[in-house]
Amino acid sequence: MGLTSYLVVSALLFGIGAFGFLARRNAILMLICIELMLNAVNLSLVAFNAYMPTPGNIGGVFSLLVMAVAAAEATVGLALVIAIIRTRQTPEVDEYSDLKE
Amino acid sequence: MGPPHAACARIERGLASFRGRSERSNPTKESLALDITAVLFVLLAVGVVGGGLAVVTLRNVIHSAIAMMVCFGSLAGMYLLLGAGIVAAAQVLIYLGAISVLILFAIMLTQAGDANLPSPFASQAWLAVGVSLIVVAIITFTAVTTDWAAAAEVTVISLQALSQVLFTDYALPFEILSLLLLAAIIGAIFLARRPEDDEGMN
Repeated sequence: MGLTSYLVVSALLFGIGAFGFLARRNAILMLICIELMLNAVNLSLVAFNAYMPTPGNIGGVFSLLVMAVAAAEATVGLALVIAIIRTRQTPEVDEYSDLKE
Repeated sequence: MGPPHAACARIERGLASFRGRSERSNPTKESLALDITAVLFVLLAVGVVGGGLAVVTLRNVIHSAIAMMVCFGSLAGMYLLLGAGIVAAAQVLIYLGAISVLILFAIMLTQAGDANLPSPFASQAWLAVGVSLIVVAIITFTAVTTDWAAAAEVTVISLQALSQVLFTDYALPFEILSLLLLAAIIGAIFLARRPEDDEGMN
């Protein structure tokens, strides 16, 4: 299997994540979709690294860094979502239409 | 790194003997090695894309989170196919182990019960379909039409070389990342406190 097939899978996963982020109403699910997009980027990084003409490890290093940033993002994002859900009593994002209490 | 490759080699040999008996009369070793990689790739791609589709289409958020775990597990398999065993291990540890459990806990803390679930899609869902299809089409077109001058064989990442690069050339990003994680921990604790704690402090 060549580089192109991995890139196509990565593009599909990114598109699915983008669709879910734009179309779903649940705040937690939107965070899951961000994770899907980050994973799609990770897949393309690792694929590029594996098929580099001159062997190297930079893609692996960068995918590990992306994973750590994704973990931090998920932690803070979920804490934010839980705080919002506590005050608004709903996970649906189209209910969060005003900024005032 | 040893055991997965040994297992892969065993599976390859087993499949080679099986194929040799059933389908092909005189298969060469190279074509069979390509075959098992292709079969595994197709299975994992179905897992990744099918899991992703299930995440965005399922009505119940808990089912979506389970589908997300399937998707991430298949991605770990893909990293193994690409010769990045350490990235696959990190994927299993961080995504399957930590982030999935975190998301499942968040769902269980916030879900009010699934008695009458409203429509999961916002009103602009069709617009979102169009936008994401355009994005996929552009990326796929670029990926297919570009001549990548890629190597024919997958380079296996050696753990030793990767650690060498990570702790010498990329030591600064690594340290900044530890600061970022510390900030994330503090921020999460601050944000997730209950409102009554604030009232008690004020």
